Amino acid sequence: VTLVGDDVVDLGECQGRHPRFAERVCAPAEAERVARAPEPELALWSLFAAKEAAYKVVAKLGPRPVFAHARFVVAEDLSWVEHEGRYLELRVEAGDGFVHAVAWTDGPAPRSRVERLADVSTPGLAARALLVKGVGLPGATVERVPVPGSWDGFAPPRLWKDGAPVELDVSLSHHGRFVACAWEG
Amino acid sequence: MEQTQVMGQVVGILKPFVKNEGALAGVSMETSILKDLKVNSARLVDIVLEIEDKFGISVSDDAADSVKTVGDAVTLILKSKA
Repeated sequence: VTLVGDDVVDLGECQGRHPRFAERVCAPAEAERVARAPEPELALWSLFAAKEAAYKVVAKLGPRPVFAHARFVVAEDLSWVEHEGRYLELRVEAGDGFVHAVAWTDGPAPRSRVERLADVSTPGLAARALLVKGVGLPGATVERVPVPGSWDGFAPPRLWKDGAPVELDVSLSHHGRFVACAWEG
Repeated sequence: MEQTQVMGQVVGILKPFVKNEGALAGVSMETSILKDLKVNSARLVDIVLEIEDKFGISVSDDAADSVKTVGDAVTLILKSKA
């Protein structure tokens, strides 16, 4: 099984950060890269999305790691993320107004989708719908079981179809005007 | 420093990061910053940094990771200032 994590960042929602934000979330070498990048904001949020995507994978592998962004070190070419000696594959896509990162364990590259929302009031539902459409399983549902002690209080998303779990690892994310998903390739 | 005083200051820090201010109306020590106030992880980093600045403390990564509720933040501050 290839484990997958993804994260989308709406670049229009990233203004007004604390002055020490980059210092807090980046490893020292990453902070230097951001500072000298032609587009520092894009560089920073590419790193941030990569770290968030990688966190989701590492949390699935267990035990739940401390969610400290700086401990997830991203390759300069954005092709991998390292966390405490474990390396994950990485793909980062920059589109019109967003950055989307997908991280995964060894195996085929995951498939993924990003969509701009017309209605931002229910992004969680929109992300689920995007995933169901993407994997091509009409009638499937996406569930997240409450898990006290997990980072956001829920287990990773799981696809269900006809009352049974689908053996396909998936990931969902949303931020601002964008929803995204990724699943095993 | 009293708990109610710190909680008031924490709510003041949270306010700019919560889009739905109505969610702050019934805030309590048990209110989840992520689930109830719908603060995302990037904004949570900003909040931790604001807490460091406001209270003159240093919040480690491990301590920051333990902050899930308003009460967690208040307790963290009180322990750091003790």
